[in-house]
Amino acid sequence: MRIPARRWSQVLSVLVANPWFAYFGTRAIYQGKAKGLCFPGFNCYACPLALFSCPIGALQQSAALLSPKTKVLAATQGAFGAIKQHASYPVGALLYVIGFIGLVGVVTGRLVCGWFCPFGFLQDLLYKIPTPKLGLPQWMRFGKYFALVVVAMLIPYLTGVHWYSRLCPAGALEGAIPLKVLPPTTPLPATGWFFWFKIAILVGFLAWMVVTKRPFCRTACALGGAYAALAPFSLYRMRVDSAKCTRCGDCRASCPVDINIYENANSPECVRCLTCKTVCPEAAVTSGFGRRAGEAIFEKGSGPAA
Amino acid sequence: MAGRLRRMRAPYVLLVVFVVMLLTGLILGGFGKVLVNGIVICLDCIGLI
Repeated sequence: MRIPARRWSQVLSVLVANPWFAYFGTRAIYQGKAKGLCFPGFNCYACPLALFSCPIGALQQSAALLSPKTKVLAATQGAFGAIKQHASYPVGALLYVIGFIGLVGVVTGRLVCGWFCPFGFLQDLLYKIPTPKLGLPQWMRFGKYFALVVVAMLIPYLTGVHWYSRLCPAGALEGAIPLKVLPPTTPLPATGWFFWFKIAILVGFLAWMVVTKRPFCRTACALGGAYAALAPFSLYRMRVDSAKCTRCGDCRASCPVDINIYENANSPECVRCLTCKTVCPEAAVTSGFGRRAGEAIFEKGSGPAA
Repeated sequence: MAGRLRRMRAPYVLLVVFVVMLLTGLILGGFGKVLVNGIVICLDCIGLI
């Protein structure tokens, strides 16, 4: 069985994002310089194996540290408060994280989602379990923009608390559960009802991933929302040749986010997995940086007659 | 709308804006603060209430 390049890339990304196997011996969460770098995919940096920061975690924590409420919280949170006070002027962090996310998004669109995101990889795998499948209502795709603007930025700023991380199913899977099973030497807070609430969110999403294509990416991923907003302007472009496309539907059948590429080649929903390029019997789908002269290109709503 | 913005070279304008933000963030010490933030979240992610 031939394993596609995208699968290898996803496996490699999991290993690159989580190579800190020294944790099994030291039981110490990695706190070195690499944690100042953001990983472009969705990977919890509370994972004991994580080497890099989650850009959405860093974004909301920067927003939380700018909050007027943070100083009040810092005074009441002991050791955590002391760390927060130390980082009490996080404008640099906010610019750094927004610049990083924006740069990745404007260069590649959502290519990272399709090729390098560990949580996207998990969703691709779970959907392969043979069960009856369900579609996703179109309106739910706006959830990821709500997650980005309201849950990951506005609420942390207003409350001083990083609520997206606290609810995040990737955080529960990669951070909360491993840290409970193999606790670090640093004392952790006691498990309360909120821990189990977080696990319930995770279980709900895992079940959804079995029956629906990439439900987290399409409805709740704040990082996906940021990349999606920039995808129509990205330098990496998808193209569908209007002279070749017959609208056979093979692209949609194989698409991990269930879109018709010929209706909008650079849709914000497209994770640029490039599977449509592989399966298109007419070789009508191409991609790359910049436009090639003389090529017929479908823009939104300008596809061929059915 | 997106097509019009593309013709106005919006991708290149955005590219410059984000590079400037990234570099400014680095100059202002954003790297170190993200590092500290990461450690805060690592320690604060479970057993919340």
